[in-house]
Amino acid sequence: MSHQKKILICDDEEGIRESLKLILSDDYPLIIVDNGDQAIDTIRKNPDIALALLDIKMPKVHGLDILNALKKENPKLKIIMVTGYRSVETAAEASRLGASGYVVKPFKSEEILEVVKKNLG
Amino acid sequence: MNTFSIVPAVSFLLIIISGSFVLLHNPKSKVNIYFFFVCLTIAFWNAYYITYNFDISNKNVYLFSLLCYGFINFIPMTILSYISEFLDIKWIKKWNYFNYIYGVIIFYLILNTNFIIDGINYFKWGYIPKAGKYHPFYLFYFFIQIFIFLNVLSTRVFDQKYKNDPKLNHSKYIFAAFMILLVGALDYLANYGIDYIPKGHYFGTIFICLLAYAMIKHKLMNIEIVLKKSLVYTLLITAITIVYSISIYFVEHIVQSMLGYKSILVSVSTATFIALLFIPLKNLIQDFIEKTLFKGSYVQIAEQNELLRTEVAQAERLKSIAILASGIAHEIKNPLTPIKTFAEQLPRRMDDKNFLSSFSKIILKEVERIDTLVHELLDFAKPKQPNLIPTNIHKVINQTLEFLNNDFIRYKIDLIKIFNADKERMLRIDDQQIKQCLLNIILNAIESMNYGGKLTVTTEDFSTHTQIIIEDSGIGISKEDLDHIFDPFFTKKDHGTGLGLSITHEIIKSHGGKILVESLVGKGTKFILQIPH
Repeated sequence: MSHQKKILICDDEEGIRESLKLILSDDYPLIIVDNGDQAIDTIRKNPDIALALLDIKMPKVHGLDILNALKKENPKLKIIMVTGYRSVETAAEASRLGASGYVVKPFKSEEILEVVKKNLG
Repeated sequence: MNTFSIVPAVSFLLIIISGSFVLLHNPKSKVNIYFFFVCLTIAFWNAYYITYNFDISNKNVYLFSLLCYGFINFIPMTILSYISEFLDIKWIKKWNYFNYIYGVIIFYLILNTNFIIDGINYFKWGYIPKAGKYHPFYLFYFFIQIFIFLNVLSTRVFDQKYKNDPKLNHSKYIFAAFMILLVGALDYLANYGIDYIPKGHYFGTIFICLLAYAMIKHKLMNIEIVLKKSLVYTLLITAITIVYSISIYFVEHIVQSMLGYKSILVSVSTATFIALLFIPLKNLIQDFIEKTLFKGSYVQIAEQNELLRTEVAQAERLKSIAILASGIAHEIKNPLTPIKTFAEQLPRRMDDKNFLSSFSKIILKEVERIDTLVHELLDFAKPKQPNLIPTNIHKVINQTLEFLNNDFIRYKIDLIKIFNADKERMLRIDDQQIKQCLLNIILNAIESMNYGGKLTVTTEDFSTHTQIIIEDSGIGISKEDLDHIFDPFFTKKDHGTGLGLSITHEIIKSHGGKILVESLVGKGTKFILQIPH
């Protein structure tokens, strides 16, 4: 592991979680959760998490609401939204709420690595 | 007292009643609210004419006349509100706030100073308030407001840009109505001492009739009957009053010249005459309205209604396609992502057994998911025509419940059956499709009860349909979500496609039935399926 900055992955889909894990686990320590409540809880307990990858559409609660809550817990946290479709409104709302990036599914491995690297400096 | 005052007095009441009908029909519609205000101000215009037949030098009569005059000052503003709301013109809405403030000031000046009204003009035919020193200024701004709304309306009516505007026809009626109303503005001449008998109450009544007609025909289709009736009775009562007044006038003269004194016989005989006349006159007016104002309108209204309905349905369809498209994007892109990642990583991790075993499972699962989704989508896009065969509905319900028996045991659910409908009730249904509906609803119910709960299935017979009620004691559905549960891809479940209930909805619709839902958060949900006999 070349970097020590921790990443949180939050997605209700096992396939997406596994994919992100596969792409990132060689380079970063990961914490993986499958719902918003756990994500907020994890961020509260682990202030060393530097970046979160967050699905925009999850059952029960909207990804943008979680984004808002995570930002409240840790204002320095970088958040990348993962979404199924490109929509101007969602992108604008995500950026207004302080997301640092935006990845559209199905993503390429390099895309993820690049956006994470860029945001973790 | 002059009997001719009865005409504007009756018009006053009936215009207020017409406005109230429209308002009460849909008190939330702003267009209706403003229509009511327009009616109110026009009604006061009518009330104003009641007084010119009285001796206006009487202090109270004069005050009443001034009060009505003050309300007339609000006519252009209420009409501007009505138009700007109907055509959604924002700058007029804003400008009109100022107009209302101005209106209140003028109202005050009319009642408390002699700036606008200063005394009385006496004519052979009656008494009219005399224009004060600043009346021309008041009149000038009054016409500026009228000019603005005529300008806005004429643009809507004549500009090619609005050729396809759905509000065009309605605008044409409003425009025509205003042109007629404008003739009524000639009444201001009498304020300046010019011998012109005011006729505004006739134009005002025609104006309201035309507006109401336009609203019936192009907007408020469902209050058509109410308004048509009020229109019939407005004209009826106006006609009767005119006949009554004329009869009394002539009969009084004849009787008085013959007997030399007034007799109660006059009123009694006229009243009898009117009573005999009432029904034929009503039929005559009703006939007249049907044949002239509503000429050919049943077919036209039906056609226009159909057109509007198609437009609304099309907009709704477009909306659901948009929801569908974003749902599909999410539902398909999710399983595509691990498949893509797997393909990308495979060359590098060929020897990684963990990778191979975990991802081959995931890929298989995701492919199945896409497969299920495509099937459900096809079901949704092209719902099979139901094969309607008379079937015992209780048998279908029992078979579905038996099929789910294991789930009831596993999730500790008490099943209560209350079959109040006829045990042998046969309904024309496609039993497979109805089973699918029941399954969708009951599976949702089981999931909402989260281990343990009560599921009640009730049947009831009604004259036209049989009702199946499925009630659970689950977590319930919030008010906001309740509006969306039949939308495709709307789901709150971890592993749902959100198509189950929309398919259920489609199936019940194709059976000519209805599906209703009531829910209380924390208490449970009740689905009501109504299937026609």
